[in-house]
Amino acid sequence: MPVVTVTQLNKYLGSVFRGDRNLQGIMIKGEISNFVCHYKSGHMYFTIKDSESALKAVMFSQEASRLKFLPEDGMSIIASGNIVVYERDGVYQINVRDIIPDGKGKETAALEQLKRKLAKEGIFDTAHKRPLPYMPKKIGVVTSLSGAAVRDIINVLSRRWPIGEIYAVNAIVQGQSAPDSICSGIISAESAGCDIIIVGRGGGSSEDLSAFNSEKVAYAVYNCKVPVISAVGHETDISITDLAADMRAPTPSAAAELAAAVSVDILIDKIAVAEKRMKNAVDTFISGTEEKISSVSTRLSARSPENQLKLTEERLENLIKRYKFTFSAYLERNESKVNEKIRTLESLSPLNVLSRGYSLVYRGKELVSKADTLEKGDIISIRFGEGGIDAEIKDKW
Amino acid sequence: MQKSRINGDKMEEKRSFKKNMTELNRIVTELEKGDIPLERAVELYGEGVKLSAICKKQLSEAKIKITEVDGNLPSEK
Repeated sequence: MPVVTVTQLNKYLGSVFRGDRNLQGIMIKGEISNFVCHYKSGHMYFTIKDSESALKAVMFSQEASRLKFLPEDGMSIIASGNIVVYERDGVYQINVRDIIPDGKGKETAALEQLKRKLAKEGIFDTAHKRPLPYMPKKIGVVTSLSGAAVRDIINVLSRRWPIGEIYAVNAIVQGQSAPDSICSGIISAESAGCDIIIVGRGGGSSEDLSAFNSEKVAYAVYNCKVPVISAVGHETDISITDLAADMRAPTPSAAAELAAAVSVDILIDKIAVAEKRMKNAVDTFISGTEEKISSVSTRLSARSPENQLKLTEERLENLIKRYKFTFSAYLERNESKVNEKIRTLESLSPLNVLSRGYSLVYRGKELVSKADTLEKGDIISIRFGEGGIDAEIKDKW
Repeated sequence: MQKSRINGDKMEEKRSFKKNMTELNRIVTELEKGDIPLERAVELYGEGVKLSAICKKQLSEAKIKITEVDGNLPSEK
């Protein structure tokens, strides 16, 4: 029996593995554990295991960088690659080329991948979201016309927005041809002149949202020239169409309400407000004009001849009053002066002197002050303080 | 005069509700500015009252128009 070295053995086994077609291009199903991504090289090292066994796995950075998701412990996957011998350690492992998530996780991960891709391409950018038209003229509805959604939308719009017009395009919303059908429905509604489009599911119990998660529909919504409301109607999952749409509605009815944000009732109120504002404006206008007129007429009458006359009269009366007042004051002042004079005058009266014992002697009317002017036998009149007498001159001294 | 008035009404009834509503709002705004001659104010008020009546009529008489098309037919051809 020949003796071989470990290296020889491992090299031999390596060649055996490489030569076995069953071990090359194999797909292994299992769960990831002990996941490590070497931060410098970017190589990924992990174990793929199921309930009983485990397999070492390596994914080199070249392949790892192409993955659309980051593998993590506990993830169910299908890894494809070759089984090789790692000669240094004498272990076999899988050199992984690609990993796809397994089962339900597969769809989720694929969807996440698509979401990331579209987000990168700007399909979900809020900057691209357009405002919904105020009072839309023609509302496009792209959905299955046999479903309940279109009836709900028609009901809401008939009530809230009878002024508008509905352009309903039948579309297949489930299955292989659904994405194309929805896309052509959107284009049809757009070219029919709709100024807003509701894209939704036809209702029913199916949870199949795949058409609304397709890249095609996302782009059709994004490229649509008019705003799009999505009404895919799923409470927990947000579809790609929801993200791409300008507005997302939880149900078709809600989408219709969003489309007809201004309802007839609101408009009737608005008209009433407009009427009231007009009336107020006119009232204000009229009362303002009246004020202007009355102010002008006040100014006018202030300058009328009648008023001038009245003013003159008033002035005259005023003057008279002042005159009277001044005059009576003058009189009062002078009366006391006169009384004083009278008193002085009285005190100087010769009658007062006479009362003290002096007498006045007259010849005829002439007052006699010198005895020389009188002759014996002249008749004189003597005036006393009280009374008087006539006397004859008897003798002269 | 009477004739042209009737024609005018008809024109506004044919005009879209949105346009009539916009016009009504314009009239209200102009009236509220106030710095206009009395004749203009009277004229505007008259127009506004007429327009609001037409708007209300348009709302009460409106009936939604529905067109249904099968979007799949052309693609299946």
